[in-house]
Amino acid sequence: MRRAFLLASAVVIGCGGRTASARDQWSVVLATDAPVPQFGDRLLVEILDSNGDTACPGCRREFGVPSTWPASFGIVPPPDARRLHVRVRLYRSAATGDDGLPTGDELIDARGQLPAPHGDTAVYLPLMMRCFGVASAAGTSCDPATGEVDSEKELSAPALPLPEPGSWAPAATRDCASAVTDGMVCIPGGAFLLGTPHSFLNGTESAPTPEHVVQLSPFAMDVDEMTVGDYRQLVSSGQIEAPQAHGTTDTTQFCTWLGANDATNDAMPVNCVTWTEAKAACASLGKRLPTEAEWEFTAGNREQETTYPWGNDGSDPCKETVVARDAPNLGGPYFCLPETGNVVGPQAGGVDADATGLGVRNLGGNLDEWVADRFSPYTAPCWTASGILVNPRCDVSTPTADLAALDVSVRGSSWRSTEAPAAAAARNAAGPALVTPRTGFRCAVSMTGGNSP
Amino acid sequence: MTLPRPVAASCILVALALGPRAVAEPAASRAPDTNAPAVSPAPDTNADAPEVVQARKLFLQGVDLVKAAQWAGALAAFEKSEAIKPHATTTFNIAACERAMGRYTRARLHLASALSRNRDNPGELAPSLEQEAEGLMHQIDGILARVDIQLDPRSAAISVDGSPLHAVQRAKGTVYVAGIEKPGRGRVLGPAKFRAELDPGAHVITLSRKGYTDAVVNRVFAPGSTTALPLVLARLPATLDISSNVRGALVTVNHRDLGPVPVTVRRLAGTYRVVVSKEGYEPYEAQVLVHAGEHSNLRARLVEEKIPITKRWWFWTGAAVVVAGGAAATYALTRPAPSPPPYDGGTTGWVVKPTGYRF
Repeated sequence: MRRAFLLASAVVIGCGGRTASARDQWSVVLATDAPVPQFGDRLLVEILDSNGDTACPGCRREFGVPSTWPASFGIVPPPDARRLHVRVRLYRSAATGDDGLPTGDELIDARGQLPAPHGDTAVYLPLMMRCFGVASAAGTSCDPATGEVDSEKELSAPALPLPEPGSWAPAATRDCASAVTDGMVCIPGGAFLLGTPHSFLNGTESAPTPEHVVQLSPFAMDVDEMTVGDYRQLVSSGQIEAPQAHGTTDTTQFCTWLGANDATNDAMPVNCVTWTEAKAACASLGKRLPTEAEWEFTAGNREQETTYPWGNDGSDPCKETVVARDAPNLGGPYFCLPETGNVVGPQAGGVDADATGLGVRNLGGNLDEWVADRFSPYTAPCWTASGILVNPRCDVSTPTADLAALDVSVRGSSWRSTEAPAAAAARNAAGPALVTPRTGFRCAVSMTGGNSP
Repeated sequence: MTLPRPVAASCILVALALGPRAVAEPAASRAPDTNAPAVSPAPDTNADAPEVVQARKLFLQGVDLVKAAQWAGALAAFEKSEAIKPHATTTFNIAACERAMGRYTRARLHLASALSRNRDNPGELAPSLEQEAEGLMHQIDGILARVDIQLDPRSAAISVDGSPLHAVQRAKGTVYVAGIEKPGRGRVLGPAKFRAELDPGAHVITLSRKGYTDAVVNRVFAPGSTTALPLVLARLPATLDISSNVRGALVTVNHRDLGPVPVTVRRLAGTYRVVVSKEGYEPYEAQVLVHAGEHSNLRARLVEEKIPITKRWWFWTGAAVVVAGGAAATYALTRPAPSPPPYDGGTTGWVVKPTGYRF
């Protein structure tokens, strides 16, 4: 091999003891404070000319998110001394278009101009969460110090210490400071992306797009949907009124409430309660309905942001959760009946597999659930405040022509629907007075929390 | 908008037909609504045939059940009667029962059917009943919810409340009506834009297509409303995991540089040209077909290049020793500048060389 020849020659030649000086090049250093891969699992690196075009055929490369940070690469100065620019995007492979390139603004897009090279010139391009979601154009870039779009700056040498992945403060895990009550589980606070880049209902008001960065304080969530037994106890003690609906008609025959003195369905989740009744039941226990953000954070396994409460595999929904178990003549899907012994309706205890890593059960199916928020599309003012949404709860419905009467949010799927709404990010709307055997609820309570070690 | 009170009387007062014997019984059935039209059924020339007797019996059962406001039972009786002996009046009664039960799309379909049958068999419906049928259809048209659906992709199968939509030809084109077909899988309709008619109230609209995520829409439609509903299904991407036996081998997919292995990419379903290469190894090239939603693993096994004698290390090493010996003396005199160190690719090992590029 020629290298061997060169090596041998070099040994001889090198005996002279002279040392070659480094050639001009840029060493571009990348560092981030973003939790990875949650907020970015790929890098798209481009070397651009002053027109914003790729400076050479090999001047663009995609990387999987580096296992070690800071990451770096080299650029050889072009012979014609053109000014070059570096653009690096930290994005999620889930948020890519048909061509595999990142889409939308929910990413970190950093740009900078390369200075004149002198020997090995190290330059630093920070990928900071402050710039997540801040779109920039050629000639501009998000200033990582302010999070605002500014004119593109010349890159300078890295100043130590460089940020480390996951060091973004809002994403720090904040545990519950005190023990939670029986039947609840602590959901440590943190940050996540509410919504999903690819909606199963693109273009409609209930599409969970666009995404929003949300920071949540710790809270506790009921492990199970409220049962008839729990509800009966509250009614018996005079804390709340009995629900109005009884199972007599086509639409209410699967209502589980049989009366204040009937314990037959005590283990069943209670349904056919209005949003107001659900709120009252939680309030009587010193709790409240979970917010949409809390519900999704829990169902998506917090920073893991799984598709479903039980993980990412939705290929066998009939085994994973209680869905599609309507009676064949009632109009809802019932494709799971043959696999599940033809048992129609909601189930006491649901399905064991429908559980999050922290043990919250049946968020995916059995009953869909009332949450605290009024329904507004994610494009409405409730969700579009600048910066991070901290403990958001939408108290203002934004009615549209299509959803005029549907002003409360509902989360999860049910025995009367398919697996699609079982996705953690999926959302739906209903009228607050709706009484349906499809819908139940669970309660949550705010917790104070300290920072993680 | 308030829905009209179900009209029980219409159902009762039309309990007259199905042959001469039925004519003798209208009085008992007329009481609830004196404004309802009377009926003059055509005489049946085969009134004592067993099937007619049975049909009449079922018909009268239906009338009795209507009197007790047992609409579902009445409907079943009228349907059985019609199955034995079709008659426009029976069809009208079915429509009236469906309407009383709030199934307006079904009621409208049966009213249209009764009128159509009456045109083919003049006299089956009395003129007053014919007029009432037309009036009820007009009234129902004001109650039904209309949804202008825009489907993307148009080949998605759609169902409403677990049943496919039923195509009905109208003067202004095809309308797809919910609540008519038996429960079953969604059906591909063809047009990307179409109008659906639904009973007012809550409905579950389900879309599915292979290669796309399923979609379920829960909506409440107000009586008489017209709603635009765009339904766009997201495509399911395929995931391609590319690895190699050689660390640092570079991957390109359709000529796009994806960096060193291992590489995980999401792409639409289709065929992709994958090249995995590293200096000193034969490049690995493959056409990979991935299906929607599929997770495909590709392990590129790179084989070292076959090295000719001139590329064997010992050949050049030996040559180097010989040459170097001769060169040493010359070199000692000339002492050329040493070669510069190689460029530094950093942690990624990537050195970009924007050279040889012309605008």
